[in-house]
Amino acid sequence: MERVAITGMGLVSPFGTGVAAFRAGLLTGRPVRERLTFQGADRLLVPYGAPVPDFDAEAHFDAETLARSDRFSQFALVAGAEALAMAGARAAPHGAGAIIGTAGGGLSTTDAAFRAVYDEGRARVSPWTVPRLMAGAAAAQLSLAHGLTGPSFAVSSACASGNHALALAAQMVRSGAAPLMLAGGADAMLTFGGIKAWEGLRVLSPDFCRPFGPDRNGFVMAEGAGVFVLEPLSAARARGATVLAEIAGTALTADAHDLTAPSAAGAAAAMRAALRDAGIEPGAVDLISAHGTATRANDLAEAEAIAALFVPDRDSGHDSGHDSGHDSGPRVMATKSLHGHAMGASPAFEAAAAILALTEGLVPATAGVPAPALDCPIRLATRTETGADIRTCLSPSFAFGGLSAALVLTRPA
Amino acid sequence: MATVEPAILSAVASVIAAASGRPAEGLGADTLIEDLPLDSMALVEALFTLEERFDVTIPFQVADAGQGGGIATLGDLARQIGALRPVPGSAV
Repeated sequence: MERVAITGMGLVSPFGTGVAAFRAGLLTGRPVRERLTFQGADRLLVPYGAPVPDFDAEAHFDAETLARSDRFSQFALVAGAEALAMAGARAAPHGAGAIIGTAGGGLSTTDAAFRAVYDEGRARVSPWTVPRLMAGAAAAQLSLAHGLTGPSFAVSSACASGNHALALAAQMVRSGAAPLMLAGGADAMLTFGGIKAWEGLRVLSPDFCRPFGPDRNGFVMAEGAGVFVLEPLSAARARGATVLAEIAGTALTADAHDLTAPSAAGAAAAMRAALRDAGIEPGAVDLISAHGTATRANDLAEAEAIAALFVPDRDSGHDSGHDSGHDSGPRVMATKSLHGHAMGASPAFEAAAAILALTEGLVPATAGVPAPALDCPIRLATRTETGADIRTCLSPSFAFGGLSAALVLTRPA
Repeated sequence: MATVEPAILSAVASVIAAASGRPAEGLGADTLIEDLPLDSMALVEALFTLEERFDVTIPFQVADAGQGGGIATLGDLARQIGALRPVPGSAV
């Protein structure tokens, strides 16, 4: 069994392109949210989102890649190139692969093709429609770009997709099934049809994403990609690579409870299983990079799960009111308050935030939440810290369908 | 066999020329598609452009495009488009 190191990361986020932009965005503490202006945006009930700013696809790609790739694949390609450059892996070893989680796949392409045939009455669509929209396209594009001949495919578990990809890739590296994996999430759902679908669920905030806050009212839809390089810790050390973090444990679980309603028991089970896999006691967890979508139900269930797992004696005494649980257990950061909810890419953003916490002690404040809600008894980060001593971070994701994936990230000893 | 309509051949030559980076003057009915510096992607794009221009569906499969899509010469392509095109009263 190999220990699994993360040696590179690449990000395309609502803060901009690159890890440096992401880090600056977390530090600045200003939530990204703007009025959307694409065709039909005036017919949206919630015409706001957190798009990737100034993404110049033509500056990144040749004409062939531009014609054959959807925006979500382009995000993954840019993030993947940054991750591999950071890892310093000059050539991916034979048998390396790519697993990219995505909730919507090439939805920009689907949306445009549907518009052409339904709305504009066109008889045909581009021959590249399917190669662009297929869910596995981002993984395929990464394979083509970097000569990856190992396990390469998409996984899809709605908003946990990126974590399922990372967990699965980590398990492959751990078992020796692959010598190196690119893994993460990518989504580009800020399209007319994409937002209309989410409007139907009534989970989009009319203003800002305030996870665990008393006045939370949903999330701001975002887009982007995060891709990481995973390889055996021994191999990383042998080639003198900088190790950003170790994936010490993973868990893939399902609630088997409800299609859309979250389950506190299910969330706790996912986190507990990841810790057990890592061989780490709950008391050793310094920080949780929360799922924190700012929907009333998710945050309630997530907070209840955190309290149950990390403050087990909370309910044993009398009800002590507001402070119950708010000052005990690990710190909880909720970065969706800043970068919004990039669907399948969100877990990758939250893993990246975890890595920045492990490597430089950056724990950003939860934007718009001066204090957590009474019904969320967790130790929420409400002021930005740099230089915090974070050695172990749990990063869970809880998706519709009751599909969960959790990672335990550590600073390797 | 149907003759090649000059207008269609001219359009085919100009689209293929743009796709392959060759001047259209050097291209004719006998030009073999496999002799042109066209990769599968450029050929697919060119065929799609011609489909849009003439409102026809050329029988080719994207996955076969590397083998020329079953069309040998530019003349063959122009003839195929001419035959597919809905031209009322055409006696050609």
